[in-house]
Amino acid sequence: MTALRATRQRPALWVEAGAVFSWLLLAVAMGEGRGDASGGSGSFWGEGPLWICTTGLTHVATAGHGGEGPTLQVAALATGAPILGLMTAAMMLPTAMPVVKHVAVNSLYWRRQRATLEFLCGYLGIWLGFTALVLLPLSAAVPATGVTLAVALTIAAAWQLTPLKWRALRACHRPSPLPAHGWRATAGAVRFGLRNGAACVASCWAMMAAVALVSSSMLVWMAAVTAIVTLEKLSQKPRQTARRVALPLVAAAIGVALATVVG
Amino acid sequence: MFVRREVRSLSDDTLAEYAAGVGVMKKRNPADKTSWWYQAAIHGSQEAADDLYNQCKHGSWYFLAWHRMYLYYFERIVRAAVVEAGGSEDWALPYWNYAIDRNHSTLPDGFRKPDDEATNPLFVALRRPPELGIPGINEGAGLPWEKLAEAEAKALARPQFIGDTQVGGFGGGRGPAEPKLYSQTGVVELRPHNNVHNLVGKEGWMADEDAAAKDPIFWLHHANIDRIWAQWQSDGNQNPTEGAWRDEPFAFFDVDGGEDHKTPGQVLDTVTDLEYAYDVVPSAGGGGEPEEAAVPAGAAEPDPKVVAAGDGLILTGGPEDVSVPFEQRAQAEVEEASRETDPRDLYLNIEDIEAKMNPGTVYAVYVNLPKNPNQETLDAHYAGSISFFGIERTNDPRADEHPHGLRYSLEIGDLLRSLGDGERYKEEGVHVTFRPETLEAPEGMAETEALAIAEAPKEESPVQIGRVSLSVG
Repeated sequence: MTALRATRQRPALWVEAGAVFSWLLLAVAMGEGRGDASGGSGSFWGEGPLWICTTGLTHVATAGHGGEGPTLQVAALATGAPILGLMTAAMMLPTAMPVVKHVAVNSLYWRRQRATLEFLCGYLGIWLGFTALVLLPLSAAVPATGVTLAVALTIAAAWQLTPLKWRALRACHRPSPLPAHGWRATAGAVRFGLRNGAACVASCWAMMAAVALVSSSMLVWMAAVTAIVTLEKLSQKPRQTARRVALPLVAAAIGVALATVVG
Repeated sequence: MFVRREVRSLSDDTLAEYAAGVGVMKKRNPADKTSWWYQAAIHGSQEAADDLYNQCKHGSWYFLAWHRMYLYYFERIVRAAVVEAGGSEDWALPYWNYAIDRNHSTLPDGFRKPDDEATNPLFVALRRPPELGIPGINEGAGLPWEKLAEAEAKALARPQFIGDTQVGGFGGGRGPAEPKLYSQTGVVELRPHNNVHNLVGKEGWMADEDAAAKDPIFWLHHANIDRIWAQWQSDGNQNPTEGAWRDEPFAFFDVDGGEDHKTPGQVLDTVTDLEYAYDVVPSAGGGGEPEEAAVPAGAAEPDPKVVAAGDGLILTGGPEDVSVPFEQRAQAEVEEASRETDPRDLYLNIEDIEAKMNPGTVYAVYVNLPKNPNQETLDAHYAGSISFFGIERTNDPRADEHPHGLRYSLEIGDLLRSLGDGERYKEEGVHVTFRPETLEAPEGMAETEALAIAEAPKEESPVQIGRVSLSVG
């Protein structure tokens, strides 16, 4: 009965649990020191999860040119792809909870969970696509140095100050009709997920691009960006909050740049 | 102590002094914070020329408190203008209670006679025009006062300020303080507030959030809404106690043109906090720390369950129908919830409403309305009225807040119970009808003729409704 009541009051409980689980799993996976898979020397904490994928991609590109062989490619991609999915879920589910709950409580109550899942397919699908098509190639093409990270953080800070950013953040709160029955219900929930995911990408692509160029303490960076994006979406004064977020981003850029110079 | 009185009960020069004060303010430079035009722009303006333009709060729990502050400062500015024009120092803003009877439902004479903006500061040409044989608001047509009286009574009967998540309480939901994707309009804001804006101002200023406060009747309408809040407080109901509501500061300009701030917690008692009272409302007290209320300002209830949903529709000014079909288990759920003994209520939800502009029409919503209804049938199937005042800003707010999709929920449990078994619901679902409300037909017009006006097809600026659903909770 308690479980039933909890589900009634929090119809998206399993999604909340999924977000927590993603973080735990990610922390465990990253803490196990998967640097071995790359043949590198450092712990995975020091390399960043995108690095595993990009290492794989880089080796795909260099195969036949004296690369280290297909074993490494498969190993890197096999370990990197699930981590990539986990990363996306861990970072984006907390920020989407108000919308997820909206989908759940506004769907026919016997298809709440299904509609939620359909929405998430669209929402996370957009983010996975963006990560695979933009962040991964970016990570592969741009060396993860202090300089590039500082530049990326500066760009992210500048984006926070643009009207386009505020418009995208606004679009994250726009509801979409949820048809009740049949394939139209499925299409409606997926469409809402795609639309909301696209707005979310448009709002915080720059911060995510900076995360893609992180070379150490990845979990900390991810947690910080997740907190910032969630704060923006929950803020009573979103435009003001978005502007204020530029400050810690600039501070981080300066901090990274100084650390690079001193180091 | 200043006393706000019903506009038709005035036997002195209060209204004439208001006209004189408005005249003085209209002559001031629009950049003057105490000018008529600047004060109106604080509510809304097409321009974004100043920090304090476009500040009005709608669709959230700040609606009542923000407008109480807005009227307070405005009243002080007008009073000074009245004195400047040679009027009395104890001038107070009157209120217009359109829901007393038919005589009170027409726009007071001073606002429409003489009908010349150059000589009568209270006259505005841009008000609801005549329509197919029914006079316009400036020609003396009355508002549908019985529906407005019912709306006021229903609002006053809501014990919670915030209320449940489906219908909202008396004053509105947490709005930007709670991350919801739709507005949480309070019952008193939805009706009578929104509807009177449209009924008075269709095709004119009052129906436009950016222009409404330029019409001098705006302030008397809002004084009436403020009176209803004072009445609700006086009845012993509890305002929110949360700091996010009580301590949120809002900025205005005072009589000297200087910026001043107040929070909702500072305007709870009109007598002790703001030095005014309404002629018919006993002081509620409540300026100090709130006492424990029998009914909390807002209770965390589980969201009602959606049991059926139909397609969307587009409203263009004429009558429209939509079906909300039942699956078998929905029928069982509705049947059970319709029983007298079942404590749950049934909600009709009109969701995902979008429009580029408010067409100014008020729609009466009916459930399972038979074809060719007469007035008696209409009354029996009436679920409530909705309008779209402020819809332009729901997805594009001027102030720094998140957008909120527009949706309205109507309680229809009692209505379904009152209908006979054959009309309560059809096996295939519930049938919902939207019909435009008109101003009161002139005496002598046949009922069939008046009903035909509502049924005439029209081509107004469209309003898209994404879905109509039924929920139980």
